[in-house]
Amino acid sequence: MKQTNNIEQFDKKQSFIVPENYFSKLKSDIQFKTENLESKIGFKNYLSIKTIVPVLASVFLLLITFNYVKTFDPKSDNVLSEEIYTEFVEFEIENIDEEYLFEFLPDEEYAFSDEIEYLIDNNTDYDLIIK
Amino acid sequence: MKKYTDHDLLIMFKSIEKKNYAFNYIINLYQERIYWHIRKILISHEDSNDVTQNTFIKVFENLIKFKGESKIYTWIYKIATNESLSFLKKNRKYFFESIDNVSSSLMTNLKSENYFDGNEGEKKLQKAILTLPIKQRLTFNMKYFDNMKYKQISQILGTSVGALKANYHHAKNKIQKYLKEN
Repeated sequence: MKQTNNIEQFDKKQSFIVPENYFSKLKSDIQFKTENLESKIGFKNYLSIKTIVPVLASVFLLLITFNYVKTFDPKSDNVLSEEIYTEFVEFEIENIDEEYLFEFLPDEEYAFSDEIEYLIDNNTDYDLIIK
Repeated sequence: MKKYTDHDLLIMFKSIEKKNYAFNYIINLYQERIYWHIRKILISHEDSNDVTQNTFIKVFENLIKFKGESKIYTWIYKIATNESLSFLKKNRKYFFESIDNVSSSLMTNLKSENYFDGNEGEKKLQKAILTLPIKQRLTFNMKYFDNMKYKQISQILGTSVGALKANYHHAKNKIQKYLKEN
């Protein structure tokens, strides 16, 4: 075989070789990989924000509805109104002017209460008061 | 097989029904040339097979974004070159080792390569090519074996035509020198 030291004299043919039917196998390998990639891309698109947001919103609404239905008690409205009424009356009683109440007392009792106050202030014997 | 222009292929690729047809057409058209380009860089058939597959997967993923500023072939060639260089970088012995220093491992690949059909002279030529810095090696392979025009090589490597001419000239001289000395 002729040995040469000048590159221009080399045959430019491909010195490397490949296994038999390599290129048809290469093509099907690439196609297989890209098909897998397509299905992955499809799944990714399925999980995109456009899909996830409405699904999550629906689930959230369902949970709220479910929670409301589960905890709903028709009597609770009456209980609530009674509680509000009691709180209102207590508030009114606490804040009412006592002098206003005196008007409803009979005159004798009113005077009697003044006397009691006087006796208490002067450390009078309680037995005497009761009598 | 019907002939399609790059423009036709890009339009077909954008339609859901014709996407796979267009991609298969591209594989049929370019797979061999791309494989041989990668093989000349990586030497090993197994590595070249992996990188060729990765190249076409990248093509499939990104063709939709391709704006047609160059020919599809040039664009795929560029992806193949980048993928090959990334492969070499990943397989360096040391992290800071220059990509130009991987020739020794490629030389080992060449010696142990089962799928080599050349004579001793051709093997010597391949060894001589492997001694070149990577850019000179790429330029030499594309010009000498693939008969590509400097303008096309310039688009692939992102180097000016003048620099490529200089690269080719230096590469040729180094190879001649290697062949004389060995």
